[in-house]
Amino acid sequence: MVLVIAVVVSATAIALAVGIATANTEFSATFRTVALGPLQLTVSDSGPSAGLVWLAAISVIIVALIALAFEGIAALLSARPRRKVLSARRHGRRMLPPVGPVRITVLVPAHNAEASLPATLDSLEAQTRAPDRIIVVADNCTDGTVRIAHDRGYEVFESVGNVHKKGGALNQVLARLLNEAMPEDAFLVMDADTQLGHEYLAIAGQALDDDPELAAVGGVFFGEGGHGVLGQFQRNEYTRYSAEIRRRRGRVFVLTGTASVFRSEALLDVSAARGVYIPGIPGTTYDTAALTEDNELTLALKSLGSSLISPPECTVTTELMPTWRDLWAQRKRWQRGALENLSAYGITPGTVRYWGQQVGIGYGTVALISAMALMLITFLAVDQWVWFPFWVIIGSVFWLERVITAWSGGWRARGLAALLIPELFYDVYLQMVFVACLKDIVLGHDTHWGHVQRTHEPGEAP
Amino acid sequence: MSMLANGILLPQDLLNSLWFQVFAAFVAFNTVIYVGLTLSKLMVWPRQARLRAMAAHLPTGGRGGGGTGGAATPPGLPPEGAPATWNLRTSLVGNDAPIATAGLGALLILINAILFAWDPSGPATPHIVGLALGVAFIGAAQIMSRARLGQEAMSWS
Repeated sequence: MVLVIAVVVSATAIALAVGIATANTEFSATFRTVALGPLQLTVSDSGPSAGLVWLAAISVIIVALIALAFEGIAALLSARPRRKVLSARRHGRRMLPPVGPVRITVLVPAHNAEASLPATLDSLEAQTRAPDRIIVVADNCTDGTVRIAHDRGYEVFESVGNVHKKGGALNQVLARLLNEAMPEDAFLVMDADTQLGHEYLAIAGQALDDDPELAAVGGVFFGEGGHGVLGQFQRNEYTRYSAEIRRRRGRVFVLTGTASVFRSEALLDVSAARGVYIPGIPGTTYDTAALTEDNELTLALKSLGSSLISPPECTVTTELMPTWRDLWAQRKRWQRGALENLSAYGITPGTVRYWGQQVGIGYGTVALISAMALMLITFLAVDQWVWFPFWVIIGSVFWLERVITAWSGGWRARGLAALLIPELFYDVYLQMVFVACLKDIVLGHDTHWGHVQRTHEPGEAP
Repeated sequence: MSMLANGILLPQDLLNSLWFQVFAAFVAFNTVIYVGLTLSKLMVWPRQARLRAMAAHLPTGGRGGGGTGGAATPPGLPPEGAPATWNLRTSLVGNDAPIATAGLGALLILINAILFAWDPSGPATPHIVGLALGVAFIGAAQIMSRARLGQEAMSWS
């Protein structure tokens, strides 16, 4: 973590040095009036110096090259997967190619999910390719979850003495299932508050059938309806993320915990590698010490050189946070989970890109807050509205990007994006979560995790 | 981008002070970088390499060699009896050409936007044409990458 802070501070220092070197020290506000139809606009032609623009262009190229290098490292890891070495040494069970089409078992971990489970099961029944088996994994349920699953004719696995939340319950059921799994078996792990798009299983199954090297298929998640403006902020964020995954042709950052399919062989490799190549207790699939088990499992698979994909057709609709306080708690859990997982893994070829992402979030925080501070100071210090053509164009590019990337979310999404300022404040809110996490980790604060629908009893530390 | 005249809470001289100019240059530097990164994030990536297809071309082979006896060839893999240049030609048509076109479009937009901002008093039409051309190139790249043009497109190009 200190490393992330150090890199962000260094980058800020370099940018400040550029600022000092290129600052327009003889600045004097020279304005002219331009007539645009009936309007008289005060315009200033002053913009950043040529040196600054060139240095920025060079920086963009450097950042792009670093990003490409991260992709290259990931590609090299996948080309010579470490998991092949592992499975070659697995006792009694060598990795064999699947002999037939993939067989998908759905695992629905549920903790007191009687309200949301029926919709989840409905979405499974509506699949164009029916799952081969569905198991509701009831974890410490005190409500009607088990009854609902039984009434609808589904298998139920009840966790025994589990104190490790979702990851612990899944470990119990997977320990049993993986023991008798064949190479063509795959497991869809999906949350009980999530609904799959109708094509999800068909597309995911096809992807696994087409490419025997593919270890897992993730979903591309969208937000449920409702929850007012806060819901729209979250939906826009998810829409943009899914559009980015689409442009990256399914190259996924994190296999979503809401719904992802894993080949049995990949999970066996992970459990064999735990405690050796990757953190965790040997023999277990999920690392129960991780706050965000989906992020951790992605890191585990990536570290073993597994190929992962999130096809854009594999859509998932998931719950949104109804209040700002819930959003804070959710994001703090995600962010802190991601940072803690990275700390557990260290800097390795499999994680270097994720470290880079954290630095990106950190520097983005510095850049956005300083830009807003500059705008505020200028706003309070000028006595007339002045147009800077250079900044009008730069601002328009940002504005267009915001609107275009939210376009597929419908007119509400576009409208909110077009207002620009509210989404900027939403971004600042999420960046504050990042700052709070860094502060907690550096100061060694422990946090108890709340959730809209608590998955465990309060006070049960992860 | 623009400024509003009203309740002046801070002295206007502040805008001419050295620290403010350094701060403004710092923010300008970051902002130009983020515009570049934002535009680069809009680029469409090439398809993911198919490992099975790659493994068939490696000396060690994947596992069990190439054809696993499937009926139809999955998309992205060379059909039976395809020429040795199939992969190269497919990736040229499907990936490299659209990416190059989109890159050219982005470059046109960037150059024209910067040139226009530099000298807004000059003639605007060439810049507008340049910007429109840049947008058209990016649009064409999107269509090219989605249309999955066959190799036939290469044979006449």
